[in-house]
Amino acid sequence: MAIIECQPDLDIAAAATLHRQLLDALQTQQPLEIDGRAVRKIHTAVLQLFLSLMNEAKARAVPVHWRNPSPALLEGARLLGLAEPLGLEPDAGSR
Amino acid sequence: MAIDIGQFVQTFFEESLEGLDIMEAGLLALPPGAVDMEQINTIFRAVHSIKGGSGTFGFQDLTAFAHVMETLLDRMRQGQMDVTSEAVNTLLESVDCLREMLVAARAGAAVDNDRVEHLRERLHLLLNQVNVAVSEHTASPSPVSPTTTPPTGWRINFQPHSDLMHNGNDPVRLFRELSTLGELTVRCDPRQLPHLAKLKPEDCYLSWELELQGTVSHEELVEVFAWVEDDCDLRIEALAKEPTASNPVVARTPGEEGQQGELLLERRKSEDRRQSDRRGPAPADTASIRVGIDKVDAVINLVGELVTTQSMLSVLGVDFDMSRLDKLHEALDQLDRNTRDLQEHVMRIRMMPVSSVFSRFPRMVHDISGKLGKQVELRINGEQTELDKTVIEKIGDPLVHLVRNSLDHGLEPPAERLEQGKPETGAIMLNAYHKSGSIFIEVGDDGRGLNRDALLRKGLDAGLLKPGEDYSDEQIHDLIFHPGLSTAAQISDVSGRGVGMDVVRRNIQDLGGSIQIGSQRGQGTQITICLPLTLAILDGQLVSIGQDCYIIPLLSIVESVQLRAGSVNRVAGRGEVLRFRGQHLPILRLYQMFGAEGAVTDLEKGLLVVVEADGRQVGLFVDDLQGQQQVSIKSMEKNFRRVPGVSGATILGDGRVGLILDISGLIRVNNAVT
Repeated sequence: MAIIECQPDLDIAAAATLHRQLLDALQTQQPLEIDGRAVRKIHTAVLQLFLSLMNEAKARAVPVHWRNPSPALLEGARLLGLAEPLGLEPDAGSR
Repeated sequence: MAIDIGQFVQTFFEESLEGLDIMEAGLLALPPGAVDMEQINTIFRAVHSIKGGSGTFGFQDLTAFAHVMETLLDRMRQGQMDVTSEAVNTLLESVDCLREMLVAARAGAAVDNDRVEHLRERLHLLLNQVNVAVSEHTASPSPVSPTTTPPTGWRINFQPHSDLMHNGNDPVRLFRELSTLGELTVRCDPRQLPHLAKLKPEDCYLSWELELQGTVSHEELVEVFAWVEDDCDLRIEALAKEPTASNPVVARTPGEEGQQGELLLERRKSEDRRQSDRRGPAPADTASIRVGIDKVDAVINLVGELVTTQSMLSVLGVDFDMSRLDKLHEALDQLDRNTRDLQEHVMRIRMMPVSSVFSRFPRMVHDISGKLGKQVELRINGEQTELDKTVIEKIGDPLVHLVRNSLDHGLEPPAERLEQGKPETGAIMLNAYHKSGSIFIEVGDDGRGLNRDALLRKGLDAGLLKPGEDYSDEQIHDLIFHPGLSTAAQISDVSGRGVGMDVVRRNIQDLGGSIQIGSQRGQGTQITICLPLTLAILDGQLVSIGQDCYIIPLLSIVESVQLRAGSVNRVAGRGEVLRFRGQHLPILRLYQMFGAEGAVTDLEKGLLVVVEADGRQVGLFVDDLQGQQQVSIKSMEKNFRRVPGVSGATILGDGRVGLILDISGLIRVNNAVT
């Protein structure tokens, strides 16, 4: 299990680093867990990254779980209409 | 705010004067009665930029005047106003007037207020005619009722250009603002989203279809999208059956859904075409740079000298004999000098003043300080300092982060400052300068400073520090860059810092730079960033592994050690570790990671290079050290593909390719494996 711990400030400045982290994590071919409890601010660039990760993980049959997505993370995803594709809908739970 | 904005004001004047030329040419090419949307949009955009810029730099008169012109042009492009020769002439006169105002503002001279006032009146007169015309139009018998009923909602098609987010825009923020106006439904179109590996994190690939329910005026919507107007394709349609004055009906068959008003702001294809014409057919990331003519002249001079040297060598080459050996050496020395000078000057062409980054801060500080209710003076120094264009592009976000931190957490509210005997207005200092071959950028504030005791406690709790030991202020302050600490929510409340500082440090390190922090409780904090002059050349340590040669960035090397027998332990789940200066150092056998053949595999026979990145140390096991040299960096992505643990490649003196190691990447790969 590879765990990605999100920073509190997922600004556009954080996107490039996170991108590399996600790519490296995917290469391990292990199930991924994204810990979103610390997120206090999230940028579209980062949500877009997560969406691409979800697509990629699905294609490779790598399971991705969310752990404790923070309210800021959920709000960002909902505002962009990405809550469902990201598996962040309340009923979707940690898919 | 007393800010030294000399340099970017200059750019504003230059661009505005260029904009006026564009407006003039556009107006002159606009035949009366024509509906050349492309042309009108060009003119509109020029005046819009001038208005925005003059607002930012506090030229209120310019802003007000440009605003009236902008309104008039907006009516024209909405088709609410005809392009009459009277209007064109008035606009042309207004362009002259605006030019005079700009020149006067640049020289700090007075303007002819009577003339300005007179023109403004004429523009208003034109606008009033339009208003009358519009109300007459809507009052006339029409299949739909006039403006009395506002629409019950809007449908918005928002297609960001790929570079929308480069300019500091964030759809999350836009949509949040929209959601405060009414009930917002969002549908995202992810079809353009590429594979993760191909995605450029700062480009925008998503687009959206939004529906906003509520009695919201069109102006309010336009206001929300005002900052992204030039960076997206936007289409706003009313959901109500009733169009409004600002919402002209497009002729469609009655009864169709198409009765809905169709609105301005739609970026027409022709406009996009023109934009691409202007920028050239190159892809978005091949940007251009403005280069001062003096720099080009310097290069031309050097080429002249090079030609002289070359002809000197040619002459020497004819009937050469050993008696002229000294002359040959002399000429070769000169060639060496010329080549070096030329290299240096060509590199300088890529250098841009740091003001292009600093220029975003006056506005940002103004906005954020207003929101936070703090009084802030921004002092900028050294904005003429030049650094590589690539560094300039990448340093923006970390600096924004630091300035925001200073504003948000560093500076106290006015009341608290007064209590502490400080002036009510806090100061944020941005400073840039050259020192010993590097660029230094300082971000400072005179706020509350870091809370050393709280940081110490946190460090002890997290096990990063040992109880009973003495730590320097520097060591303690350095903790705010520790990812484990900065993610702890409390730290920002306690110390006023720590939000994502590890990310800032990583960004700086990615640029081959370093970051240091100095702080005194109650006096303020100063963060100093040290950056290399260029990203194209790196100081490297060459190491051999088997038949291959790899390059380790010199900045990341702590020391190199020879291992003794039995000093290495195997730890379950962590691989091999060395007990080294009081800590356990993971060992990475590079020959295993890169599959190098013929390498030394016995730890005692090779060398361990201890390197540090992201605050962590590892030992890289190599065969031998070869020497240090400057290497020019070639991109792996462009020439091959991305390889984890490798940041680039270079051509060595003997023609072989050497891979440049990415220390942070290696550590991450190692963590993922163990």
